Amino acid sequence: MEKVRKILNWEFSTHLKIGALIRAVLIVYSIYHDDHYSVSYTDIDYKVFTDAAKHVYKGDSPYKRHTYRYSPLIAFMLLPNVFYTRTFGKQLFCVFDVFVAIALKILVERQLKNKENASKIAKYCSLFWIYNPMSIAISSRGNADSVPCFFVILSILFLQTDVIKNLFKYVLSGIFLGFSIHLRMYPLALSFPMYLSLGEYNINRNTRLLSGILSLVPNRKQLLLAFSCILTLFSLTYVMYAMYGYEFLFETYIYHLFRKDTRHNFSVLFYYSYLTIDDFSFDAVKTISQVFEGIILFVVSLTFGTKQETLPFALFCQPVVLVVYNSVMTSQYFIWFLSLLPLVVHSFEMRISQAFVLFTLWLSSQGAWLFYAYLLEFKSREVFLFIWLKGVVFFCANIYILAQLIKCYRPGYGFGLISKTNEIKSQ
Amino acid sequence: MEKAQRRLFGDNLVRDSCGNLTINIDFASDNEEERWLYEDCMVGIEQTLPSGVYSSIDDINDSGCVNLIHTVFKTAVNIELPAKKSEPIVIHLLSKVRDYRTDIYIPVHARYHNPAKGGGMVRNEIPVPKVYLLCPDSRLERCDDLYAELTHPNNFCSEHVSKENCTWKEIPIIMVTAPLSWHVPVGDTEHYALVAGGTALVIALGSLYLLNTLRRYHSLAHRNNKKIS
Repeated sequence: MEKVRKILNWEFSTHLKIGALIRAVLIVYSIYHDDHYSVSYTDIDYKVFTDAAKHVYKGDSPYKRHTYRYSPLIAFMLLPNVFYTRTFGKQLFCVFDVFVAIALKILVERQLKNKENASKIAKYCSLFWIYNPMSIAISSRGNADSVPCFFVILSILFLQTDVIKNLFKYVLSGIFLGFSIHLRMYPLALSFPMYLSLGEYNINRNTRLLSGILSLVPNRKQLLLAFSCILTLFSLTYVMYAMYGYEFLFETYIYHLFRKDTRHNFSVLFYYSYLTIDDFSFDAVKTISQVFEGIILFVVSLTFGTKQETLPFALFCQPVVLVVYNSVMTSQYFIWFLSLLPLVVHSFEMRISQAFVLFTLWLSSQGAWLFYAYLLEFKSREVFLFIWLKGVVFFCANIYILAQLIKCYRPGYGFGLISKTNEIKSQ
Repeated sequence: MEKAQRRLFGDNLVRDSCGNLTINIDFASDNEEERWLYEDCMVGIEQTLPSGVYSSIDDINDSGCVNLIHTVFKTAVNIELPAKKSEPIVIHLLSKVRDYRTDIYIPVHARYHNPAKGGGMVRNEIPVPKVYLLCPDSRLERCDDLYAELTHPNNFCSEHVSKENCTWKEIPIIMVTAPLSWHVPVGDTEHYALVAGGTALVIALGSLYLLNTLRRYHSLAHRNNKKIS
């Protein structure tokens, strides 16, 4: 235990270097692994990005690559894959990974600015990202999700801290949020709580109706955030549309909105979607799911999004709900909320044993699903019902874990390193 | 006569949703009198994949099959379509006779098939490929006596080359392995009521549990705020 504490207390730059080294080693390993084993280490999407970049290099549309369903910016970023080195993209995503860790530390440190041990707490939080096997694997395998995650963190950094002291920070926050929505649509769900956090809502049962309505009118900060976000998103969309036409709109946005992927995945809705593959009548089950999802997203925003102090938790919960209720759930989506976990992990008042139990529950429910998916995919066994049952178990596990995190959430807890006197003084 | 054998990942009955379709062709390696005929010949294989099975040019390029010189997909491939909405795929594979043999493999995948009453397996029959030869010195034309009834104008050449001018010769082969088929499991439509009801119930109960947790958190936070103020 003492050794672990000693390692944890190394300089932040040392941890960054170790994290970068681990990712670099895995990139090198991926070259060897892909050449010698039939099951590739590299993500299939990385091949798609590289092929799209090849088309762009030749002056064509990246959408000439079948299944390229991302912003053209990803293909632009990976142009060096074509003329420099095939692993450039992986290196870039790992660099963004490291940037995320730095941004997380700065963000948490500034959020806890008046509290003791703020720097230490911030460092511990960023270690949850630096040494997270999922973030290491995802970026070294060539998945681009670390890029929008970085811009989401940047957006929150400018929104919640005094890196910039004037109103321009809300403009910057909006710009980075708009950029991240352009790359991936999920940050759209974060925009509502971010907007709410800038308002001053003193509504209770004694508030007059007119006062209540007036308090909902957007203030200057909210308008700056909203307009800069919308303007950025609109500008990027317009430029890409001018370059690539309707194909860009369809592949980057419309396809994802109406996507019906009936291949097996973690989602509780998978087997239902597969059994109704040719059914185009009113879908009651999906409607129930979407209604509940919408209600939960709204309630989470109102519960945690209206205060600056609890906004990070709202932003963490939103992608969890999005992912858990989505009709398609794959491992790469987990990075959407795992990248925001470091912002709130210091606020869970939880024993280590309890945290370990929750972590084991999350992993083992995935493992159970993966076992039956293996039987289906590699042994061609008829196990659809079991896959569905394991999907149900995983859904329940996610809901239970999220509920436990809500119960344990104590803003300002700081891993217990912030003394109560300091807390009361701050209040 | 040329002998050919095919394997799908080592077994005639395959149980993988992805695997390699291996084609091994023996060009009279046990007949010294005929061997000269096939030396340095190019081999063209036209393999049709049924609608329930697909391959893709990216997979084939990544497969690392050194004996496969070139691949041409004669039909467009959409790898995301289910079997019901897909068409059979025709692939032209180019190789060369080496040591009187040709050994190639291509990765193939099973598509998702529509669920059926009672579930079970869907059988995908992979047809016997057509084999073509292009030999130097118009060697095969000298054997017209032997092949006159067997070889005939074919479509292995590019579209602008007429059948009569096509220098590729389709040759007969003897399959020494049983016909290839791929059994793919499908969902059971009789599970619909259970799955639909169960999914809706789980989502509803889970959501209510989560909403209740949020409500209790909010009440507790509100009470704590009142105490502090």
